Amino acid sequence: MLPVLIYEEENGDCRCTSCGICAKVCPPQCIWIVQAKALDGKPKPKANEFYIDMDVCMNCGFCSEFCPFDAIKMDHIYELSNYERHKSHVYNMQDLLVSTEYYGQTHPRAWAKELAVKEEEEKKKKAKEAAAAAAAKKKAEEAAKAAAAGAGTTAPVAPVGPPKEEKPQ
Amino acid sequence: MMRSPDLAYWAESPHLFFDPDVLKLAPKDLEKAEKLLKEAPGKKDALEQINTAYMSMYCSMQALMHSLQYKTTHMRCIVTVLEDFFIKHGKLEQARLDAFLRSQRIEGTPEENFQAAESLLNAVKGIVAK
Repeated sequence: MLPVLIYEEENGDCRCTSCGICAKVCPPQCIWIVQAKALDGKPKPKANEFYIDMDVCMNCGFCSEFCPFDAIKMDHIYELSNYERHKSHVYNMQDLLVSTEYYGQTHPRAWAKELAVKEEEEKKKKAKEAAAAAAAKKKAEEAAKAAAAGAGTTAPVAPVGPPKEEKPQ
Repeated sequence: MMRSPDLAYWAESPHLFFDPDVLKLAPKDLEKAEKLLKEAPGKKDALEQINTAYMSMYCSMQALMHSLQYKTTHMRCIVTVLEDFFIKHGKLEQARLDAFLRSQRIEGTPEENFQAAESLLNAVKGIVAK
């Protein structure tokens, strides 16, 4: 069981926001994240670099438990045997990134739950949008009605008669 | 870096599989890449713009993968397959893959990334059309 990072299958977007919670809770401190910075130097919610030293990782799964964005998960592959045990066991972002589809295959129940939550959120969002659209429509209708009523109740136009002669002062 | 990240390793892994049905996804991937590329300059900040350009590049890369009728669920596997099938045969320049990886690390200016995404998309269109 080794940690992996999740990216969205449709667009390749990595879920990690480099919040650093995984690195903080990691008991053997094997996670190293470099946060992305904007051109003006402000930190941004994206990871520039992400490293996990798999030799140090004790497979506790705390990182995946604590991740608030479901960006880090425990994989089912644990084979690490190699002739070289220094550089090759420090996994970078390329080595860590797996798709949501793979996550769905390895964690079917968690994935189903996540999909259900997403679906519910989308439903709520759609309902909210529909409600907002209905409210806007109602408001527009009311405004139109008021305008029509206003047009009906406006002060009658004074009958055009012969111009009154103004008395000279 | 990961252990033996060659094609043989990936073929044995659960991350790379052959699926003839994915061939029809290639044009959709290209459409998605084009759409993202158009959206990218309108994003609110430079980081979002670079990230959207990266997504466009990813979709182009996926189009290449799907044109081979392969499907993958690992980022390094995508890179390995592209190197083996396209870069080694001179169909795709190494610089395009480097630009993709730079974009993933959110490096460079938005304009550089838009250019890289656009040139990659055009290159991929040419390859997929063949």
